Amino acid sequence: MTKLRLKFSKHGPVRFVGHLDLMRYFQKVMRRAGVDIAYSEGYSPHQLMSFAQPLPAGATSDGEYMDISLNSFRDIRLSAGQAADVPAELTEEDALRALILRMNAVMKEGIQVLDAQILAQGAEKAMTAVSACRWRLSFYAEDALGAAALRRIDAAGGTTEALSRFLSERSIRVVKKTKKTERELDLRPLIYEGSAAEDGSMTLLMKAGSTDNVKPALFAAAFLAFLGEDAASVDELSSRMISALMIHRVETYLTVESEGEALLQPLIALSTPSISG
Amino acid sequence: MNERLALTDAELLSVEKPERYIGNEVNAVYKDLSEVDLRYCMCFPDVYDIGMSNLAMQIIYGMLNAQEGVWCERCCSPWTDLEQLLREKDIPLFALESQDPLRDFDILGFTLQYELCYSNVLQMLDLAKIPLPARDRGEDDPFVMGGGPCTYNAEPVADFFDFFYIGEAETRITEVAETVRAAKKEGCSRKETLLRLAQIPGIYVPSLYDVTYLPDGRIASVRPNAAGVPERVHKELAKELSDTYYPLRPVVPYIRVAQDRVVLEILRGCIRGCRFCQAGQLYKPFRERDVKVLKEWAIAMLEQTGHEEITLSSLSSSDYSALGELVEELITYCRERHINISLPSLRIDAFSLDVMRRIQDIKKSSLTFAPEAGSQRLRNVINKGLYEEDILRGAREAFLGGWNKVKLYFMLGIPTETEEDLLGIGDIAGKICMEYFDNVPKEERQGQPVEVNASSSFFVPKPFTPFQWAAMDTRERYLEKVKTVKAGVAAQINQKRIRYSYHSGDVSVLEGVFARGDRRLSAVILKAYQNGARYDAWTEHFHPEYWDEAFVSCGLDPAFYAHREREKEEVLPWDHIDCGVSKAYLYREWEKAKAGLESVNCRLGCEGCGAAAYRTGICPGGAA
Repeated sequence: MTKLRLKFSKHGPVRFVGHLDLMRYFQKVMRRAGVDIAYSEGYSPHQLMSFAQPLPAGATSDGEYMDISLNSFRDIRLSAGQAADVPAELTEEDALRALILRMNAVMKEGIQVLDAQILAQGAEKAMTAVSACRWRLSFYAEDALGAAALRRIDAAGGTTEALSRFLSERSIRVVKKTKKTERELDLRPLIYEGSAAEDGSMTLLMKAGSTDNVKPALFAAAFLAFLGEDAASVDELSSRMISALMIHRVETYLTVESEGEALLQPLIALSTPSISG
Repeated sequence: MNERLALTDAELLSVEKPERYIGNEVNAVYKDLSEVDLRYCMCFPDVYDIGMSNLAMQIIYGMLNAQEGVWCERCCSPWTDLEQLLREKDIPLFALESQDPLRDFDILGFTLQYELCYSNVLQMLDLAKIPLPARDRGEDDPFVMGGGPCTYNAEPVADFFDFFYIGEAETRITEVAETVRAAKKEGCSRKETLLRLAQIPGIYVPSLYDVTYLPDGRIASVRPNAAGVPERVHKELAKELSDTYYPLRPVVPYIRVAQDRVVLEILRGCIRGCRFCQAGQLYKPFRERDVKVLKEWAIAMLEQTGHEEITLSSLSSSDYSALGELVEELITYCRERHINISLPSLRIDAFSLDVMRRIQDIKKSSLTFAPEAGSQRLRNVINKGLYEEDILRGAREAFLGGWNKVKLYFMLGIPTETEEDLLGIGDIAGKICMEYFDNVPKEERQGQPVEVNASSSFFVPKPFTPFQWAAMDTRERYLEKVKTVKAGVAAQINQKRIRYSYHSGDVSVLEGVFARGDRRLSAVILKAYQNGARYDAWTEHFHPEYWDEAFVSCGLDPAFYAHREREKEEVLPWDHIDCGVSKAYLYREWEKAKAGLESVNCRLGCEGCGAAAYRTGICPGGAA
């Protein structure tokens, strides 16, 4: 069994496809493309496929990842006779390239496999390896809450000024709510980098993963509270943030140790051999 | 792909399941508008999740899009949250592909699958800003067409449709599109175009027929009011099902819809002749598809969609003559690829148990019987052709094969029903339990004894069935009958192993009114819609008060339509439609029903229903 990591993008109208439906979408892609994906054992076998991190519905991305397990690189749509025509001595690179082509041929234009990599034995799963994400965020002027946010930012002297003042805080206390719990934490150390572009969008590198995951909504709410927005609309922003905030995930990272130092690197690292689609 | 959406991100994210409204699904068809001269929108008057599960929608979509210059798009009823948003922001209802307003189309083709969707037809037209009464539409408005089973008596919605297509779409749908396209090019008026459409076999233009009434409200006559318009409209039928168009690249929704699987329609029609069943009459004669064709289609569709399940669709799969061969091949193909097979509408016998054992997990599945009636006498009345010994033998074989759950479906309110028939429901459930305890040794019961789930629904008499003359029970009477059945179940020795549930019957009387209603009901539907009626088939959205008020204000009595037995001579609102079976045959069957006499099925003999005139399928002159 071969474990693979795939990188894909999500753009256009399909950005409204939610995480669970996206998983179902990819399960169907595997069958349409004849991918010889491995299935779990048991009463109701499912494809061995796991996603690095759910993307909120409505968000676009150039840095989504999933891990899959393959039985072989064979195209299972082909009958046994046809399969014999496939060169037996396929290099790993050729096999990955063919797989990406087959998948992209049966996908909607908005979702594309960008990159694929064979994982080493015992490599950590994408889902648990995630440690940070780079986001590009901007507020929608057409949304009432988004417009209010833009006015606050204007009043603070523009995005660059507002963001740099926000990030120069020593500590940013926020309340992180999950379905069951509420917990106070300091957001500041979880924001690694932040910058603003001329179009008013902000690019932020923030902690992600199973502990202290920072959702774009949490950041945006804290940012607006800092700019003086009242608690009620900040609260509203955290709950229905997505309609006020345009979200794009630029990249997803894991942490590697290098000479005693922790380094962030994309889930498919540039330095390791991979095949781009 | 179409990047442009009719709704903003904020709007889409404020409604439940935005994927319902964005189009762009796998296999959705996009065309360049500059090369399109006929725009058709397939409209489904219920939510996307139901609409996208409809086979007719996929067939027509595929057929029309195969035509050059024709672009067929889709639109389903917006869910209540989006309806509210469209009204607040004054956004016209739009099609999924181009995201353009429905007003921009030439033809809106509604599929009418069940009577309770009528208020949603008005919801869609209204949100599309198209005048609701057909007579108020101008030269620039689209033609509003209806198709599907309800069109065999579409009189209650006659005011809202420009024309109806009676019968199977495969034969004439492209001709309809061509006719409208040609008329548009020649600059024909709306009236002239409708007159042309009325010349196409199967097309019924309600405005070209006048209905007169007797003083007591019954119909006196239905007559064409223009020259060249046929006295009767005959249903369209695809004679050779193996050669018809089939959607091998059906649209694959992103969300999990009701029918989230490949649908392989193996046959049309039914040999059985159950007297309560409308579909059995409407789709006569029984026609099978060639097994080789079906195998090819199954594989093509699985590969084009990536679905993980395929279902064989028909009114009675056990009657397909090559079922064994088809299932064998599918099992081989599907097993390797982790694809599930589902086989509904099977009669329980040794063969079907063997098939089910191989395609599903016995522990999780239950066995379904549809005796429909509790006593043999009443099963003869409905001509079910299912006998107590068959049910008990089937159950016994199933129990010995490892099953321990049984589902039983019944209807209450069947003509001639007595208390004895109602008590029979508990009796048969009890006897099934006995079969289990008598045949399965204690050590093999594995701590999970037999479980029988009996449920009943409220029988609604439908047009073009022998019961079209019958009175439907009142809701009160239905609920009394439910009590009798409950008592009958409670009296069983094994009553703890039997669960009885019943349909609330809230909407059934309304369904009964529309099923056999006449044109005057259009006013009631309009009024109820204005009162707020929507999604009447969804229990949580059904408000009887909207309808009660509408009947009162229109001066019509629901009981006249639902609870009245008709005489042989009465002109029925659908008499000018020919569904292929004769009224004389249906009346013979009605009399036999009242006498408790059975009829033979089409394989054993011919009851002379009239469908033999098609000279196809199982009928004399047909191949199978």
